[in-house]
Amino acid sequence: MCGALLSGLADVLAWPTCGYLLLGCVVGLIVGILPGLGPVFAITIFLPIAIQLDPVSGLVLIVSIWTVAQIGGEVTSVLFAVPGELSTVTTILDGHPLARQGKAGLALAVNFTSNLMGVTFGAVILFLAVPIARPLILHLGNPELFMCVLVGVTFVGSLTGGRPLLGYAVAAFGFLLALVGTSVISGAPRYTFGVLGLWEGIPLISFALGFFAIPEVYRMYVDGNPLTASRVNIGADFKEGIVESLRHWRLVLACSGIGVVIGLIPGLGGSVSQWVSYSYAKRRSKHPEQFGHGAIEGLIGPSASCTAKDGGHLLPTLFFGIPASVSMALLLTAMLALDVTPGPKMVTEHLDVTMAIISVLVISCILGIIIMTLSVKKLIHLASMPTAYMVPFLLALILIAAYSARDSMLGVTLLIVGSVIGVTMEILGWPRAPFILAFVLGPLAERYLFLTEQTYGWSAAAVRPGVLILFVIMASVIFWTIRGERGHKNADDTVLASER
Amino acid sequence: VQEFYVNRRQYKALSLILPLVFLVAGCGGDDPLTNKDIKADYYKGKTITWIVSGSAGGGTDVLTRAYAPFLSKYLEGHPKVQFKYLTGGGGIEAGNYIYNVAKKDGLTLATLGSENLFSQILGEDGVKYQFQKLTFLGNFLARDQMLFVRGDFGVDNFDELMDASEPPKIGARTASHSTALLPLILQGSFPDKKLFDMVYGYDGGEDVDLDVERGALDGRSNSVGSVESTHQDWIDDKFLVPLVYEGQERHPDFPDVPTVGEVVPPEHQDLIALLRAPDLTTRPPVAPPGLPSDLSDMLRKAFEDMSNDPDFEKTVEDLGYPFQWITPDQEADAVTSVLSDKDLEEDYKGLVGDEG
Repeated sequence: MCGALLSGLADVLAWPTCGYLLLGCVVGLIVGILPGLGPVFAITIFLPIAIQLDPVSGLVLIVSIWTVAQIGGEVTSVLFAVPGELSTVTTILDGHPLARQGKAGLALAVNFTSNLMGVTFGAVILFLAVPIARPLILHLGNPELFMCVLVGVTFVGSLTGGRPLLGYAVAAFGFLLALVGTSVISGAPRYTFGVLGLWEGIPLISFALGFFAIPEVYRMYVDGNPLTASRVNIGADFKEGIVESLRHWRLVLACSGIGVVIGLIPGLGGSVSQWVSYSYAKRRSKHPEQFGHGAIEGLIGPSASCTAKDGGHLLPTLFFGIPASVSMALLLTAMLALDVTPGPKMVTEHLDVTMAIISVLVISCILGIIIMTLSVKKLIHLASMPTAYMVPFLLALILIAAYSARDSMLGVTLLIVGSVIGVTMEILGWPRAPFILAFVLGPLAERYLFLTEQTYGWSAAAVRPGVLILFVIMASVIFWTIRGERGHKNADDTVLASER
Repeated sequence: VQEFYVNRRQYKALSLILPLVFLVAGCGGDDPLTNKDIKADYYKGKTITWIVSGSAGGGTDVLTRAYAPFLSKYLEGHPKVQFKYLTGGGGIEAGNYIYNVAKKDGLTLATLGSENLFSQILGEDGVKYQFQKLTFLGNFLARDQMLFVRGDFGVDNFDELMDASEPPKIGARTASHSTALLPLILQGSFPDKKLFDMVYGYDGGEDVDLDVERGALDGRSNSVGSVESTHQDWIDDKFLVPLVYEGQERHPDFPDVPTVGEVVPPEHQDLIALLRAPDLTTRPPVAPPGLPSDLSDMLRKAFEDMSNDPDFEKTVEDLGYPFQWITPDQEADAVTSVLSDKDLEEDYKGLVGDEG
């Protein structure tokens, strides 16, 4: 296997494959930086070119675009508080406050290092997991997938700053909003009010831009301070960021593990793994009160998880022909066009291609980080422009992104709706994470619940070992969350009483 | 910097004149194109907007993007092609746009789906097009659905299925999705026996495959080309057993498997006509209705030239789709025959209604 890995690495670094790798990295960074455009857009455009190449070059081009887009998205989240990708929304929560404190270099270094460690972890797991991938995925049936969704929401529902019931209530509201669109069961439209554009549900990109980015722009407008401090010491900050990430290696490993497991499940992805990892990082932190104000752990966990999930995504795609996301569906299309059949042959006949893909996950991440590091100083200067220039610039960027997400004014309308809800929740101090996660997971929860009943029946599903284990995890999370908050409250009451 | 001032009088004058200018400009409108306007190099320097009814990265999008460079190659003037996604209503939004909004100037095309036809038959909310009146340009995709069940379900052919004690669980996206059509027609042909236990709600074919592999489902209807390109081992190892093929002739790779026409009783043969329209309208490229005849001829000629290009055929097949040239007349005939048969419409509504 190690010989095959070296051979795959050599294939990637040989000309002209390395040229396609570089092209993929540049394209991935560009679409990653631009909100509203993602790797799916770029891969679709480059797919006709990729399928004309030799198998390794074609797949390297696609995988490099897909991997590197995440890194571009991290940069805009930290510097501009605008998520380039949906999977970098959590980066705004702690990365952007650091940038405002003049520590943009530190935030980016932490992100990049965690990204690299996460993707390496994912690649190693992909390399090692080949023999166990098949039974694991086959064991996760609809009942287990439904419970995974509930566990994810339960984890994130506890991110409430001392009000767990509010977190779960907000999550329920997210589930409610997810009902808009075509019913996954009957195919009939629900709550669409005659708007055809809502048949596929509320467009997530437009809504999330309003929900997360507009409140940041609003806060910047009210404060009158620029997005980042212009006086930064890139070299020292980068060094500190790398050291911090390495110091938290246990958190990196744990969140990378979360990323890989979530990546295995079709439909879940970076937008879910980041929140679950953020929640995990906050739970195990000694200083959870710093989260949302520039906590390093709040950056490390999601960043590692989001790139580690790439390894998880590739497992079902390569070995089952089951794409875990739209990007993976396009990769699958390219594989079939290039006569690379997914399945058992990926570890026999096409082992060279498998190893090239594993190698390119890590190499493209390194290349992306180098390119971004070289250009980060210019971007920081751009982000430190006075508010009077930056607010209109950001609003224009967000509007264009919201429009282009659906190519219609519906995107702009939903941007406004998302903004109103986001700003209101920000003012009231309500947690936004459980809402958006439940909104993303709502259709999946409905689908898995319905299919569970149709394919297994309630009684058979309820006694499956996987379901029982996940139920115990979910109940424990709820129990410890409520108990923990009561403990804090009692401690606070005791302190107040003694002060009196 | 020289500043530009507008005084109060000028401002008032402008505020009166500008709305008038816009009003007059708005009232003008374009004259409809006629054959006199269509020169051989009509497309030179122009850009075609191609409406995609599926989401970015989906099968419809990938195919449309594969078609575009070849269309540009075979149209004189070699126009540029840009894409616009109108995915609302499972393609209804794209159908409405190409039928009602797009100019009849040959600069807007759309790739729809056979679901557009079914949505019209079912009279779904929001349908504001008449599929049969669209300008068909020809199609390149053959539909080759086969009904498969797992080998361990215990039946090896359709006769044994008729005698099975329990119906197999068959997965599909929705009752009105094209992959549900073959089992629905078979069920409708044998109303006294529950042939299938249909399970709807899947997100895509891969999810159905996964549940078939897990054993949560007993089978599915799927394209033979798709099964052979992704799971040939399932056929070789008899993990999947083919039961019925929906084509008019037996599939060459499965000469022992009967066609739907062979198994459906004579009194229900009319239901098979429902399959003919989607057979010929799988992701069809279309233009708005009422195009000047010279323009529609020009586009149809380009599509026909594409069909004769071996590189184009290879591109389509490389993407995993069986290639077959279907002429615009064949498309129009199939669609018209289904839509003009009110009994057939009612039959289809009944089949889907019973399930949905």
